[in-house]
Amino acid sequence: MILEMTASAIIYSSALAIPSRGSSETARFVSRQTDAGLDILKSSLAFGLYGQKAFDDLSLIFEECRTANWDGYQAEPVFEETFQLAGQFLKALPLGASMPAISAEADGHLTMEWYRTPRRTLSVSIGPDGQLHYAALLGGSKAYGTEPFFGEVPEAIMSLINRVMVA
Amino acid sequence: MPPVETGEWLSRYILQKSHVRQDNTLRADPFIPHPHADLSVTRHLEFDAKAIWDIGEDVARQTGKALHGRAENLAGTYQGQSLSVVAAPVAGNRNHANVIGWPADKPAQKIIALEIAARSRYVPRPE
Repeated sequence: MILEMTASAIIYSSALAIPSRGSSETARFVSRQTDAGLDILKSSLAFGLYGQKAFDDLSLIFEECRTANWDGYQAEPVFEETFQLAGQFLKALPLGASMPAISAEADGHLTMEWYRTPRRTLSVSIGPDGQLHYAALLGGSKAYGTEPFFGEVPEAIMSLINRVMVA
Repeated sequence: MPPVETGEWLSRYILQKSHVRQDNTLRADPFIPHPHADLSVTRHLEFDAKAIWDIGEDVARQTGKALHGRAENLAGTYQGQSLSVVAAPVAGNRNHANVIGWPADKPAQKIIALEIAARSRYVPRPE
């Protein structure tokens, strides 16, 4: 019971909190401890299975698309750096967040898609430069743009994930 | 070859399984134009179903990949996104065409690709 309440509290606060990373030694220690705790929780049987599928799919897509022309239309290969960054992005998603479906684009970017219907969907691409290119259809409206990835999910993208999956 | 008309059916072959969702709808990914600024498609014109599939099988064979299916759209779907479709016959596919006029920046390409994907029909490869 205590474990369940604690886990729920962490998920809830992790999903809603605005990430904060201090620069002092103490802040870095706290950050490392928090990340380690979240890693343990994410790998637990109760919370890890769904997220693990996204990581498994990421590895599978990387293997399928790491050679040129993987789509039959002269696609660029997916580079190791892109694979690593996509893994970091998945890991940066808050506990309890919906996990995306993974694929790749012909320019060698890996893509993560949150999907409810063809007209309510978000696609986020990541390339070796660490830029996140996103586009979303939200019923009658749309949103698109680019955000840098510095190890945390940008607020603009987190907000779109929630609008697609929760609204 | 005659110019491409709005009511013509066009196919884009799908060689990557993850480009198709479990509900048989298409993701935006196969509609991102790269490495060229064009997106390759095949006009149906006078082709029968077998001829359309044969071209896809040929593409798959040349790349050592499996053909999963094809995405079908009317030319008007692309034209409605301020793109143009021009006939561009190539050896082995006289019905080849290019979708041109794509914006240069990636997010703008992605939102167009999402719109096209939402209007696409997926046809799985016959068993």
